[in-house]
Amino acid sequence: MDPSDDIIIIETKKIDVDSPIVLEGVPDMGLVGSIAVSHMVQEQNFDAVGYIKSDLFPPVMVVHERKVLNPVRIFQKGKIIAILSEIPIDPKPGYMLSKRLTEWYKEKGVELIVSISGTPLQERIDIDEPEVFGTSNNEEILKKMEDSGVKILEEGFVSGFYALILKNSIELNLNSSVLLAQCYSSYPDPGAAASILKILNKMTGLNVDVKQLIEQAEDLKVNYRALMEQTNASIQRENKVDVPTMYR
Amino acid sequence: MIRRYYIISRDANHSFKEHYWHINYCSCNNVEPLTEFNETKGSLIATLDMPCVEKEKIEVTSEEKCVSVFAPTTKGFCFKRDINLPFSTDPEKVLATFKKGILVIEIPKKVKHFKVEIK
Repeated sequence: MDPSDDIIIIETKKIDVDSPIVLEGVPDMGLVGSIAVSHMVQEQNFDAVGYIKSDLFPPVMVVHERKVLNPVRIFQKGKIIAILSEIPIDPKPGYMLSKRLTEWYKEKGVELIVSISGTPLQERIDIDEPEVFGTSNNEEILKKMEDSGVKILEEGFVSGFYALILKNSIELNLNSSVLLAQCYSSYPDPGAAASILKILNKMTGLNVDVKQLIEQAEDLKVNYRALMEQTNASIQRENKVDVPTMYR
Repeated sequence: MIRRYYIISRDANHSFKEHYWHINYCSCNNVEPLTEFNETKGSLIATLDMPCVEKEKIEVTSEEKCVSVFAPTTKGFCFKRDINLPFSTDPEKVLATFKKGILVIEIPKKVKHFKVEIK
């Protein structure tokens, strides 16, 4: 039995799109991915089309507008598929989830994977408009990212769940990219999520309005506090894997 | 810069704090703010995320071995955090700033020994 068989992707509605673009929002630094994808899904009225279940996930269900929902869900609108997790993904389930997801992306003929995250910056408090950095395993996508205002990473590293997505994408010949907005490392950062969405608007032709995200930033920080606390604990567990000294 | 209270003795601070909190915020649910620490040779910088808080309502009290933060939010709960220090500080030298919903407290370490000039 393949270890990734522990991860089951359930499609509650048939997902049949030609060459879809996948946007991933999994909790990590500043919850940038989760906040950005959650806002996009609500603002653009994405359809809930599935969820991901696993015995390796923590025993958590979430309640939104009186509905009990799985914490890792799949949404779709047109060519865009969004993966949104409202639980931090620990390293062990992370390995399996990344493997299962990239296999599923391959089956679906995904054109591009965009993983959304943050890069912590000590001086974040002094920055009004966080910059967005990025990397990809495809030169053409790097060019497109650069044209959309992304600063391409020349040196550095991507760690955690998104590193696994990149690694598996290379093995499966999928186009994968990671967007990283400057963010607070331990606090929810709706401002960084807004910066990412502005870039995605240019890259994918989306038209997500980020005004509400910025105006309600304080309220969102309160709402996301508990998830941030759990994510910080998960990041600490993950950080037991040392990054080479040259990248520190 | 937000208001600060300088309390000389630990006992005095305790009675002050209990009395003060009781009068103002006893019905509040307390939540610890997300906090980051950055220690340098001369000080400890504590950064506390406190959204939905008004600067004027934040109370920071400092003692030699503890800095306490309390702030009611507009959401019906209060942020509360006692930072117990592994070193001594000069309570009157503790500095705090509040910007974009983040409270930054700079806690200087008390100089315990210094070079004595020989005459």
